Amino acid sequence: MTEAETLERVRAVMIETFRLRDDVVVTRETTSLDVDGWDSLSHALLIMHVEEAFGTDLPLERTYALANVGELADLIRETLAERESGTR
Amino acid sequence: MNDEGTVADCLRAHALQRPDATFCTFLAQGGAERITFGELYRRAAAYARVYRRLGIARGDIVLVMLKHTPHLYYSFLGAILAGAIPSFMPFPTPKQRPELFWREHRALFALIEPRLIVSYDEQIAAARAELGDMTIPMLAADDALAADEETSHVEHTGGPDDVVCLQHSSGTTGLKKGVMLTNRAIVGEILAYAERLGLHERDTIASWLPLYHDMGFVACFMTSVVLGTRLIALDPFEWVMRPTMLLDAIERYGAAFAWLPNFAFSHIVNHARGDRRWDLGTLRALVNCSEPCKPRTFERFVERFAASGITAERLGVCYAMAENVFAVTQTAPGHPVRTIAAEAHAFAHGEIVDAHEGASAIALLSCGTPIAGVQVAVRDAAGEPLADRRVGDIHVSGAYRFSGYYRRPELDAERIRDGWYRTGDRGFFDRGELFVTGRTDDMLIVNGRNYYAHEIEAIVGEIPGVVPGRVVAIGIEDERADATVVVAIAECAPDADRAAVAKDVRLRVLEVLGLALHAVATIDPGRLVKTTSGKISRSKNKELYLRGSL
Repeated sequence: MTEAETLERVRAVMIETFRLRDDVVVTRETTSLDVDGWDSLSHALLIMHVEEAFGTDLPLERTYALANVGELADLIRETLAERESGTR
Repeated sequence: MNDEGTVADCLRAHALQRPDATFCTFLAQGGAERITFGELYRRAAAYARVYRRLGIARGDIVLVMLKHTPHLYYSFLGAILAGAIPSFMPFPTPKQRPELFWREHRALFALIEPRLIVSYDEQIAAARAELGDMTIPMLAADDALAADEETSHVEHTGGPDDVVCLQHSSGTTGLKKGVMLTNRAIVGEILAYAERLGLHERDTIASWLPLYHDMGFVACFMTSVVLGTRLIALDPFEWVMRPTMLLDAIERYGAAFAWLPNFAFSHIVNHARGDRRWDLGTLRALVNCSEPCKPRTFERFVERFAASGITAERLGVCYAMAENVFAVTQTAPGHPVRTIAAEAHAFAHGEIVDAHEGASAIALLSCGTPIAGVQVAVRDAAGEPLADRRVGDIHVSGAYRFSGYYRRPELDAERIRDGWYRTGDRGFFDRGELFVTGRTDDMLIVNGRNYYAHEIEAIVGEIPGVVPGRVVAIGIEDERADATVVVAIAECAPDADRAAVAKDVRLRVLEVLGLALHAVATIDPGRLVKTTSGKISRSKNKELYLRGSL
């Protein structure tokens, strides 16, 4: 999956989780400060929805303090790549 | 244990009589560490000796500011064994800037003059950089400090009426109050509350709660120290991300009790995937506490987990506060919690009338009856007792009342009169059961933590682009999360970049308070509505915001 495809799928999950407008712009630099309702509880919900959408569990300790959507997308790609190469 | 004993006596007694019994199974990062009562005592005693070497004397304040680690227990109990007065305090969350966090503590530290802060390396470096001039000694929690070795007895000479620890109220740092608790109050409350719940030494308690909050501190940790119950301790941060891990722990370790704020019930429901089931047959009570408890929350929880063994009889409600150690009232275990559907119009006027079918109603959950040794009164503004079903101010007295706020005599004078503590909560009695309906002040309870609207407004009012003094912070209900969330409404200067202002507001409140604002509404100058006395009205502006009319 390319980075752009990952970001687009994350955007779709964010629209569902935070009930955003369909045309919302999400970039690698988007943070919780840009999105209404993105707090610690809904962050947990976002991670669960991301895990369902990508069919993988993310390493818990790295999901607390993601700085922005870009870091989340990187973590997803890294986890999927590790799974494919059999290192996880 | 009788109620003449001290916390230190309880700790020693369990260590001597049941040294190999489990005090805690400590869960973190997928691992489980078993800590026995013998080990707990030895490691706490090791800390006590370190404190003595550092010159910590009887009555000195020791602050414990640690992440999820067993050193929380050892360092805290070690301070008690050394005769010092420990207090758990929060540490900065990953989203808070450490330097701001520590700066916010200056006034509090100047008041309480801690003799020692126990924390971890990276925080100590940040604290020293910010607070270097305050010369507060700091100690990094370390396994070497608390070596598990057979050692000589650590003498503790405290008595039942000595203050044994402080509970710092949650919320804004500058407003934190150190609630002074004696041995007699703590041991007495825990014994009386255990009797009400039918909680025994052989029982297991599962908790994800932080120890700087009275639920995690008293109902879980101190109950295990005093009563000898087994504690299953989860990391609060891990729990937020994977809330069903509490159910995993209950199932795996056969827990009988757990305490949760209202939001946590729904957080677990929202994360329980598919139709997954747990065997929760050992549970005797999941107790809802520290936030307004909602009937709908319980209904959803029972609906989702009925197949896992959850019934209405296994859900309870507790009304608690640090100023009474913990529990004030508790519903009867083994019985469904009583609900009243109060007619909305009469409710708005402070009277409780059963709503007819189809009428607009407010659903209220009982908080049960006072536990043994506690008196509760509902009074009007003049201090006169009110009849059943009349809403008034809740006052609490009795055997477990706190000994005042540490070095805050002005607050004692304001809140304590003739042995009664004015709680700031509103409620009513019905057939001996207390129902809590709200607050007399502007306190907002968010995910079990308390924040004051005026403090949030002061922080927002300082952001460039916001018109000073033209801000309100309101709590609204987020139905999906089933939680109270906070919205800041700020008037902006005409030339301000509103998107940038909104982002700055969120960032500042997050950094200072650790609170994520749900939304920031930036509006034109002059839009906020005032009361007749000229103050900006939170209630009227909340109404306008919810109607979309601001």
